[in-house]
Amino acid sequence: MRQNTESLDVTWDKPTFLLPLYCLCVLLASTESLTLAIATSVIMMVTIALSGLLLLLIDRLIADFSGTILWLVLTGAMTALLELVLHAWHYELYKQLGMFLPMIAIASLLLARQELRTQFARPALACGRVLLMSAGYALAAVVLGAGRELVGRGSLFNEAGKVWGAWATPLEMHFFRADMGFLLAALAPGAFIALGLGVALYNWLRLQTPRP
Amino acid sequence: MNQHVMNQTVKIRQWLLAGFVALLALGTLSLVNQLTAARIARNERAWFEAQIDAMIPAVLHDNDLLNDRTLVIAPDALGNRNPVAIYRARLRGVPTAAIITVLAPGYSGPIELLVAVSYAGDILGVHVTQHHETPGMGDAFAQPGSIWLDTFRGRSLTRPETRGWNVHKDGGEFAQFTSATITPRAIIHAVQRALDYYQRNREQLFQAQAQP
Repeated sequence: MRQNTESLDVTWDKPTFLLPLYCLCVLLASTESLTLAIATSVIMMVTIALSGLLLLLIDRLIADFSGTILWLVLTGAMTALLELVLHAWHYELYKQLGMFLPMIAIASLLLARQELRTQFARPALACGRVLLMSAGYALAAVVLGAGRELVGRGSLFNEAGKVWGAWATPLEMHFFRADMGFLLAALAPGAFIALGLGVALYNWLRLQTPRP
Repeated sequence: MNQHVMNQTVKIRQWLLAGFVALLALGTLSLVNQLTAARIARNERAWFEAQIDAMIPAVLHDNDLLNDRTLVIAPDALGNRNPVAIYRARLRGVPTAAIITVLAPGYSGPIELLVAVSYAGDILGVHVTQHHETPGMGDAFAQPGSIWLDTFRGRSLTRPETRGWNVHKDGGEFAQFTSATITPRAIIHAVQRALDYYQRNREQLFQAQAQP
């Protein structure tokens, strides 16, 4: 019924190369502060876990031709569901994320789908890979978010109490008063610069560790 | 049964299944929508009430401000081609204050302001409810308790005189914030226009039927 495509399958019909770009967009947009970065990571993991389960079920039941349409329906439904739930129970977070919320949801759904499709024959492996990927995303988001907030605002967990609820207020830390000077870090170009520095640091660390 | 007919039945069964899952998604969505609707409405209301309470002291009104509103269309004065809400505060039926929604043309898109005016025409408070200005810079005016927005309190159309309704740079009485003039200029002029509109239409505004 379905081929197990383990080879390179980037074609004009399947522009999978756009997916990393899309995820990058979400990553950079949602890491303005540590508070938001952690919130988006959690949202992403929950969506990925749920959609992974759903996709497995559907793929078992339904063949390719109606599967895509169904996937679209479910993506829409899950995104709307997420928005409703956050709007009702995490109003402040909902307001802060704004239009990034559907973007985050769709990015995680796309990730889950791509993994499950290419590794369809081994669902356990696919699930493991998806979870690892979202954990990796979360790590990158937290590092980026912390760095950008520290440099851009001189704080960590800014507004955590407001966004997550009163229990998180003691987490808020303010180190210095940042005025417009460090603004760059909080803006979109700062996100790219921070990501570049992060990758450079990663490469440097990797070169430092001697290989066996 | 030949191969063709069998393929057809499989296909039909798959479509039925797809339809069933789609209906299930639809059902879940409408159920969650119903479950969250009241909470979402309460959130929006609570948020708006907090804005209003911060501007109009409780001793000034005993009516339900949110429902005592009138809709006006005044593109020139209020910067919005669509009907905008004006909320009326009354104490034992006597008009005491009003809240005017006005749009200021910001650096990147409209800035939505709430201007609270006492019946006599003095500003009780100005709040930013929505803006797309540079993050970080937005903090200077969009955060609750912004010092800059507080400078509007107690002012009126004649305090300062017309020329004074400008940033220092343009010979006015208002400070511009760090290196930015476009945003404060837009806000100052929008507030002035709102005051002017209120002055000219005050009686009409308070007499109009409430439009929930």
